[in-house]
Amino acid sequence: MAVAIAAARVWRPNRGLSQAALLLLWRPGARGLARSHPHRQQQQFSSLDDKPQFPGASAEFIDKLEFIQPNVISGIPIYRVMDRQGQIINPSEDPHLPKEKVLKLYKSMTLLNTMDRILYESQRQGRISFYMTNYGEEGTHVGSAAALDDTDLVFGQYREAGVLMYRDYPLELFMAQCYGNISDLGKGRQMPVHYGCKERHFVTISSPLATQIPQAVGAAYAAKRANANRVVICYFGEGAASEGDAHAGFNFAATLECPIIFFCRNNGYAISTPTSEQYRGDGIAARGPGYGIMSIRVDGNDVFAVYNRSSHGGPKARASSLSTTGACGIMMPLHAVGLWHLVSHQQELSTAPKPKGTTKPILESYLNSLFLGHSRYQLFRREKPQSNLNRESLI
Amino acid sequence: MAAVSGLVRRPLREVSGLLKRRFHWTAPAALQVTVRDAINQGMDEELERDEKVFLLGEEVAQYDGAYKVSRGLWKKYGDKRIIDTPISEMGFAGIAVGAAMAGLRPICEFMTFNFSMQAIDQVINSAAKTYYMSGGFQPVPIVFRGPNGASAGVAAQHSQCFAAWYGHCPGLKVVSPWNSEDAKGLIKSAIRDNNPVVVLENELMYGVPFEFPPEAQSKDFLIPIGKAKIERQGTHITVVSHSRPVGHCLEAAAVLSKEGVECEVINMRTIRPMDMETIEASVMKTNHLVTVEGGWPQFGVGAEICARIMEGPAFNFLDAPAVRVTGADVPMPYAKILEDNSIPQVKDIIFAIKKTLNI
Repeated sequence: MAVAIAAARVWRPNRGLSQAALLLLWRPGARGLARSHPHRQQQQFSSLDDKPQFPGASAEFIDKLEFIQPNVISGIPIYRVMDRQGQIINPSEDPHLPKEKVLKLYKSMTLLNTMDRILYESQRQGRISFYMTNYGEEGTHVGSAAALDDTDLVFGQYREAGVLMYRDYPLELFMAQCYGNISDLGKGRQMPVHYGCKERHFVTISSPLATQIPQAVGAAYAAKRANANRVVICYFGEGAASEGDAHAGFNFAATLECPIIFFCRNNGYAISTPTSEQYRGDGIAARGPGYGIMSIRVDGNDVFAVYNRSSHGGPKARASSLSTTGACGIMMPLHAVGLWHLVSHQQELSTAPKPKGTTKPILESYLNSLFLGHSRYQLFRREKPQSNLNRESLI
Repeated sequence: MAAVSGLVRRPLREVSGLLKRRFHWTAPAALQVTVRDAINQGMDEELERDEKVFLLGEEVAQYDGAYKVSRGLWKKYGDKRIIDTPISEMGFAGIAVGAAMAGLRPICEFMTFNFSMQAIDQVINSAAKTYYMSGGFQPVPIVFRGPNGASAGVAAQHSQCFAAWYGHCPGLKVVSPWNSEDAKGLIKSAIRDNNPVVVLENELMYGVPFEFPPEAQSKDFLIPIGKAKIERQGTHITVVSHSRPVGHCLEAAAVLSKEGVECEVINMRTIRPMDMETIEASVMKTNHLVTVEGGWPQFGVGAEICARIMEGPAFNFLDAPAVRVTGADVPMPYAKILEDNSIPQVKDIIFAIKKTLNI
């Protein structure tokens, strides 16, 4: 009866279905009951005392027909530590990182930004066939990498070079990979930006989107089985989260209770497709609870916020073994500091606004407020290049 | 025609002072159209002709297509006919198949056919097999299109050729255009066909201009699916190919022609159903066969041609074993020198022809 009324409400006489409505049909299953609660097998329920006994759901009955509306106006709030001027808002959330670590975060971010500009120009000049910049997302890579152990396994999508940068991957190897030259450890087999490094526990980038998600879950499951005290972090963009592999990955992470952090970088666009065409509802973060995954939304431009949440996810994810679910979802909305587009020799530049790589990172404002009088360049002593690589081989 | 215009002109010349103007019949200037524009035109004309036709895929609308093949279509036809989808090949291929079953005529674009593997269950199990499994009751008039095969500097996961994979399946039609004329005629035939059709384009051919014959400029220009074209007549050897390698075969033929070897170059145009009659007739004339393709050798298009030649009358006319020229049996590497040596080049085709002819 309730089903009929609900169904009638959904399919109105004019047949105009403006929103997909989810009708969940649950039937009490005596079998399911017996399996989960063997001691109830003999118990009789009177009609005055009927609690819901549906398998797979834990809820109360309600006799008022109310649909859950997707709430995008006041969605999951965005956690941040610093404001746009680099001032810590809530002192209790300050991670109190040592100065060296903060400088390392800052150096990794700016080095990545500089390398991006050079390699982007290389692509436009035809010296490499393909490149993807990381403009605006440096904070997400570096903040999360800083919170992890060096042995934690990283599955990236293609815009996580900052993780490798933080883990001190040499610039020469970044370049060698992009140029496919004789120094490339991948022997020229992979397209540019498809980095991988076994020593730094960074799984080689694979082009098809979201395939890394179920693979990351598998690796996390293996780590759990081996009692390795290891966390896996899996990065992907909000567009890749539309792929079927993402659904499978999230579901398995939750049901298998794997020590994994799902890290979604949401920059508002997938090539030219805006998020309004990519998904509905309150973004990727809101999907987490649906799968049974602990979720949070963080300001991706705020490296301390990213650090805090990744480190919180780390120990929690690490501590999980049999009881609580280890999977942890973090969604990073990124303001359009750098709208990017992938570039290849066949493409004209898209109509999306050009990346604004010169916008000052928030971390710089924070650092400036701490170390008054030091300019960006004075913070680092100029280092001599260490390698004896033949320069010609890089052309 | 000339006789009529002569009749018209004579009296006009005699009445010299009265009429200064005359009819002036010159051949239309050779029109150069790129493959990209030809596909665009083909889709545009079919979208205009039948409002059940629509295009969906990633970046097809506002971005004008990942490779700009659908340029201008969204501006002309709007959101209802040209649809940008979220990133889920399995999702939008399934949606397209469902729409086709319900009576629409979708064109489902894969950014490259490599990503069709995410959706291949929908293509094979839902599109290809349904007409048969329903006893002829449920047709699926869908077109899957996109770039196929090797491009330049895009490595293994973007360079696989799917001609053999899709050509293997009953229930699918598979076409592989080479030039602009092929592209326009085949895409139009594919859209008008009530069967699921896979159109394997080539990214490197998109920007190449070809001469567009006058009949190709018509809105009803169709190339029948299942018919190959002899691009170049020859007497010494038959060279069969599809897609971009057809151009390489013609180059090889031009080089060998100077040495006195005349190659007959056949452009397959359709992979499934394969036009064996044309190939067999040619082999029976030349007595030698070389097949050329960009895909991998094992279980490839060339392998199928050779097997069918053996099963048919043309086998008795062969003076030497048929030779296949294919892509190297490795996932495509990225570095240019490795990539160049992983696809058939003109010199490889010439070498195979000479080997077959024993010269």
